[in-house]
Amino acid sequence: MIRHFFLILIISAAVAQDLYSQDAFSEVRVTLTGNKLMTGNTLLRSWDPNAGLGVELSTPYYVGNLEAGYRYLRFNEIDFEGSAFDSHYLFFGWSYSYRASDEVALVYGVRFGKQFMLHDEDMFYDDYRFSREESEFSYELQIRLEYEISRNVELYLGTAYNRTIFNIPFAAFYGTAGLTFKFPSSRWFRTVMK
Amino acid sequence: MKWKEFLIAALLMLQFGSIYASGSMNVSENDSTLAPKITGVNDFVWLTDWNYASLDRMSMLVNTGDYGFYGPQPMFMLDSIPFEPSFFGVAYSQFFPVPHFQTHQKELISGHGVINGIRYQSGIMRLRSEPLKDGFSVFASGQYGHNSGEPGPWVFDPERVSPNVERFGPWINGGVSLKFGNWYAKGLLKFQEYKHVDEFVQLRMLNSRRSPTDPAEWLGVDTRSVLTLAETGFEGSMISIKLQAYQAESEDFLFFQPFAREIPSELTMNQYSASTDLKLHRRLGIRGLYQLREQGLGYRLNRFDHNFDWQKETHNMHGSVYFSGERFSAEAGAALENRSVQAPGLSDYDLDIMSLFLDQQVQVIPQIALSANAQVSFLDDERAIQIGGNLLLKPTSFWGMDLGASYSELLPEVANPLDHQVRNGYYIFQHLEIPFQLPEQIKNTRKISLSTSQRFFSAHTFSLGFNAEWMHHISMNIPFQAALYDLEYSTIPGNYSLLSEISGQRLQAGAELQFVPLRNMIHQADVTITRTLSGGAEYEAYWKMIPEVLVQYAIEYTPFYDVYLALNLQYRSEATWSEFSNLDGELNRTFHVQYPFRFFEFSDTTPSHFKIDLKMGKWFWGNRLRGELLLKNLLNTNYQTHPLGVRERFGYMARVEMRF
Repeated sequence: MIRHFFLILIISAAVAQDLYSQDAFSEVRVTLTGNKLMTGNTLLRSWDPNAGLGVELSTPYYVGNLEAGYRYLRFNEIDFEGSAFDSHYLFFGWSYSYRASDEVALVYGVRFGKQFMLHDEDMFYDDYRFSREESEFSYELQIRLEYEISRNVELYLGTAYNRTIFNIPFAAFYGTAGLTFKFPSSRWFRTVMK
Repeated sequence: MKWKEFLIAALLMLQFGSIYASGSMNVSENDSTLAPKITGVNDFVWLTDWNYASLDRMSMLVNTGDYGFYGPQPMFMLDSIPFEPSFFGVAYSQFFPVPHFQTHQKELISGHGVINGIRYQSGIMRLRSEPLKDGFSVFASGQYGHNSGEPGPWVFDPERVSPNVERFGPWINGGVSLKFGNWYAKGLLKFQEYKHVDEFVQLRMLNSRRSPTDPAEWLGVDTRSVLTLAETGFEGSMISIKLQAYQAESEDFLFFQPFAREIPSELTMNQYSASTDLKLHRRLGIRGLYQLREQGLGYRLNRFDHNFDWQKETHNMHGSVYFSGERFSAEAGAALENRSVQAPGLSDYDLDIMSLFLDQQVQVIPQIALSANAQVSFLDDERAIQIGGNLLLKPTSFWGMDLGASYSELLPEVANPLDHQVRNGYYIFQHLEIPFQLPEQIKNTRKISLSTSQRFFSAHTFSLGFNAEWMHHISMNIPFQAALYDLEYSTIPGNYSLLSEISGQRLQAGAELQFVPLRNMIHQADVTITRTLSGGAEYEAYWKMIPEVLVQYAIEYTPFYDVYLALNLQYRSEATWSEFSNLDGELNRTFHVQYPFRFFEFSDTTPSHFKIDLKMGKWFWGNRLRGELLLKNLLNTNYQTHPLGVRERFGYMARVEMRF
């Protein structure tokens, strides 16, 4: 899978052919999201996720956008007592916006981050203790639609393929809906980002 | 990853680059926005014909092509001051007196020669740190990473649980510098921590780190190193002076080749250096260097009370006179090394090695130059000579070639210091209960080589080079440990011997390419092929530890002034370590405290592999803050450089740096 991801990453960058210089870091976009895990691999046989919440920050770069964000979901146990966990995904990434009209943009991007899983309890095997805190590298490919409702507010609808590279990898598709609030960036923000 | 996919990816990268060529992007040539050259130990030899083997990805055995992994190791030099990060042939990157990412340039030279009045005998790794900024500067950096493959929620499933994986870090570096005019001063603090969890090393290490008094107490497998450095200097047009002191210590493990496994050890290093370069005239000057170096291998609590109890003190004095004319340059000098070692069984181990050296170059006509160097070392009634010469031709403005020949002798005290010390009474083999055989007399290591290189270049955009070297090892002394298999420790030492006066012939050939299609994109490739042409079975077996084919390719791309991407691809053919043939096919298991047990199979052969690393970084706040992410081994293949060493799979390393 990693090889496909790697290929997609390069193709994503290369396909962005109609590049143009834009006013980097000119605005800050804050998106509040609701997230739903739609489907995933074997992990979902033993854990059942609730809907989750997230927050994303985005700002225009010279090409595309730079992003960072956080997503929270609760996974309830089905099989193993005490194994329910809170999932915290912290990420940064890059996306490219294809503007279909003045109001609608199609955005696709890639994210890298870390998935933190905080279980309700430690797990013991005889004398050996596995800490309740587990974390692993996680990457995500995302595509979303942005619809401008007003000058400062957009509707955000997206789907993402996320893969966390555990020994038995956890792959899942998420659906995301949210509202984006746009603000002109301050001088200090541009100074820090440049 | 299929080759076809890779080709498409490479073409797309090229296409992507060409887009910007006609664009209006703001591209800066500021060096500081380029990707750091060095992130891990593999980067120190990246894109060269040198290679390395590492058990723990922190320490390394280096092969310069001259004498293999167990032969004389290269000299290390930072900003014209030599340093010694090695203990019994194992170089610890923790003991490099510069943070990896601040290594601005590297230059690796095989063979022998003289650089800035310092002679080297078996290769040199010459590093340069980042230039200091004017005024007051301070930096801090934190780094952390780990391999992929954590168990995640599956720890709760007895059928699917797997052990936790290896973590490296935190690595913390901090420094301060002052530079006013020609004067500068700087200080550095380097802290590195590492936990040995990889299943190939943890069993040996954990078992040896059991408490000697309480068998139920396990002492852990962390390594922790701290290095501090202070340096001041004056760099004027007529005089340059440097004073440097650095101190390093590490609670660590030393893989002791005669013992075939690690020994918990306390490593210490103190080095004090003073160097000067005084110009007496526009073309004439003198150089001098004095160094005091103290190295120690001390006791770290372990089950068997294994203890090297070894202290080495070295005084080095170099002095030379140099002349630098338009068509003729030369440097002649002398070096005195006083080396004393204190260890159980050794008495009066105090050596004075005197050396004389000469290095010169003559530009006969613009198209032809001749260079030659000679060194001779004396120790009591022993003597070793190194001579070499090169004919440099430049038939056209885009073609250069080089024909070289050299003869090299190394004293046994230089080429095989451990065996020499054991021969003189060091009691370490008896202490570790290693059965051993050493020859009555250890003779000089001797080698002849003939080399040629061709280089074609076009301005700054393209260069292509080919090189070939034929080596005849007239006499080598090769350490060999016939390691035995052991379930509890992976290995126990078998018979150790120094295979003396081994001879044979080798051929090493290669090509390197550099292509700069854009100001912000560099493609580099290096191919190295080695073959053993003749020699006995022991000689052939020794060189099978070196992969016959090494192909490396790198793209460095800076799309904007504050962002960089670097992609490294490597193919390395398999290598066989015959001293571990008794382990081949044997089963081993993870440490018994760790859950669950996992069995794996030893092999005396490290597999061939194709590896891709991706590095990306961004500067913030006007180059004051930097975030960097390294994704290693994207194809998630088992990358192993030593049969008993870690298997590096997909992993990441993240780093944050601030500088003012």
